[in-house]
Amino acid sequence: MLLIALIETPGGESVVRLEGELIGPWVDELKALCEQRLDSHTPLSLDLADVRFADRQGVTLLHGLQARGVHLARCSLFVAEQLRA
Amino acid sequence: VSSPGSQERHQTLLAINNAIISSLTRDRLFHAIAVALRRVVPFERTGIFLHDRDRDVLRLFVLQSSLSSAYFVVGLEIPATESHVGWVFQHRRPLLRRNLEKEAQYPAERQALKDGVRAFVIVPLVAHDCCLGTLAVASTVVDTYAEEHVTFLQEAANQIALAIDNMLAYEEIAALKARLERENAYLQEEIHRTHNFAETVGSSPALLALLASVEKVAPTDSTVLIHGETGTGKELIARAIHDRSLRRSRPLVKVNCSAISAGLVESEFFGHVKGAFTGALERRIGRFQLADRGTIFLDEVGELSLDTQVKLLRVLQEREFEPVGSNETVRVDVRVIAATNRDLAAAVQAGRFRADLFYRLNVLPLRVPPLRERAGDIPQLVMFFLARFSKAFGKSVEGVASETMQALGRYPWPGNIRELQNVIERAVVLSRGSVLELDDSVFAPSSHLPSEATPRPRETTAEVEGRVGSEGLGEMLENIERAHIIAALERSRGVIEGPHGAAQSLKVHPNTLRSRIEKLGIRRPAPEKS
Repeated sequence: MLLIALIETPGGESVVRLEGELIGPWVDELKALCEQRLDSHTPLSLDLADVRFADRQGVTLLHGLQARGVHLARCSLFVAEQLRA
Repeated sequence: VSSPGSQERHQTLLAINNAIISSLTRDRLFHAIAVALRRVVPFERTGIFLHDRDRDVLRLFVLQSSLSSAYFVVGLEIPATESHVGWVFQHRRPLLRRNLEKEAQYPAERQALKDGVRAFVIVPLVAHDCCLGTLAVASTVVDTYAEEHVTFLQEAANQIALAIDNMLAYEEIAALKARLERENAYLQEEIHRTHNFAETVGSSPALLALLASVEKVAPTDSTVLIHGETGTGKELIARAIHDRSLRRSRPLVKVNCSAISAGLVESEFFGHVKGAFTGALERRIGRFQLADRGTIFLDEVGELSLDTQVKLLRVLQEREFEPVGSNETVRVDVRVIAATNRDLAAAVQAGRFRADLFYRLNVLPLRVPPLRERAGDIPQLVMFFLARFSKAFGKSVEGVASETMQALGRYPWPGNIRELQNVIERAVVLSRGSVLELDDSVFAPSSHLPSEATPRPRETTAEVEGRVGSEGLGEMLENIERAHIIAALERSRGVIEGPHGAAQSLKVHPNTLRSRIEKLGIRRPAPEKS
């Protein structure tokens, strides 16, 4: 289960706050949301403080988003290690 | 007043019987009863009140009425005392009001008067010597009812009470079943939440190769034999296979073959009927039946006795068995996943494991690599367990000292992931600062261990073969077993039972562990505290 909350900051940035596990169908859900924001050229950040686990597809998505300039903020130690590996 | 004739009464009672037999839902049942009653008893309103034991009230359960009322509506609650309905319920005797205007005593009766009711009969509903509630008929005409009506209604009420008793039992069973289904769904989710990730933590080639194999074998319905050292996560791999199979909506039932005593293993697998043996106080469903249309996971399958292997073989071949003490053959559709840390091929050679069972199980073999073969995954696993235990124990550990991480990476982990998990759990519990640090004592072999009991996890095949040649396979396996038990006892500080006990970390029953400790002549480092 992953709770996805989209927050629009006054500065025009979109922050996607995630809570739970970035796995299975929620990877596609997050991907669709991020694609939509990136297509509209909105600066985007992901708040990963409450992500407990990311599966292989989840890690691949995060790497891909990072490469496209999305800021990955507040990674937990575990998710940071997953991204580093 | 016209009294019901004998033939009409019998016909009506028969009609009520038929309604009771054929109707299970309350609305259909009551509608059929009302239609039957109307043939011999005139009424403008009829209803059934049932007693709510928890609140000690009589609640209007069903109502059929041509009189409009703001008061007499389904769900109305009337006190079990101080009411006309309550009087009948308490005294278990009928109440006849020929002229309500003159005879009304209770507030609820005055409400009925307002609705136009002028006469009524109320009779108790008694089944199995228990009063369930009351049945009432009411009329707008004074002197509609006589004693004959009361007698007849009581006869009908006795049958209706039995039907209501059955219906309430049926509804209770349905509610319990629904609750069990909800609880089952919740527990399945809990299992997934707790166990579903650890097997996929890491990105080493050895793990990725294993996970690729899992993806391949999962959708097939073939038997899988998982082989791996103690603590490598064989159960998690079994769960991963089940979760990716077409049987995932059905249960994965685990049987730890080493934890079941020889005398009970047949009952555990196949169930028993009541009285099958001394102590079989109730009928019990076996694990194979529980796993029907799902998956059964036979952990430590190498520990089964030869007798039990024969019985297991039959189920695997024919997918049928008889519960202990029963002549009835039960057929099941079960996928089997077995796991062992023993070399079953060698056990076959030594005559300790049946060759035919081995070939039945070894259809799709999977090897789970020991942690020392995937040392690159250690940092991820450390962080995974650190996050889990920090949260569980309310600690805010924000990192791991680099020396500690290096030491964790160097250690050979004879107890594999389970040992790493235990080390991190202990470290989090004992941690004081925000950075996790471990001293060398966590890794150092115990000074009082016998030299042959020290784990030798990094041995090459040639070294192992050399040792087998010098000390014999049986002796070598005993030494390895001894080393694992001593290491587990060290970690648990001599505690055998309980969540942090050695039995839990070795995944064996505490009694099995005690028996092995005694047989192998192991002295525990400290007295058991559990």
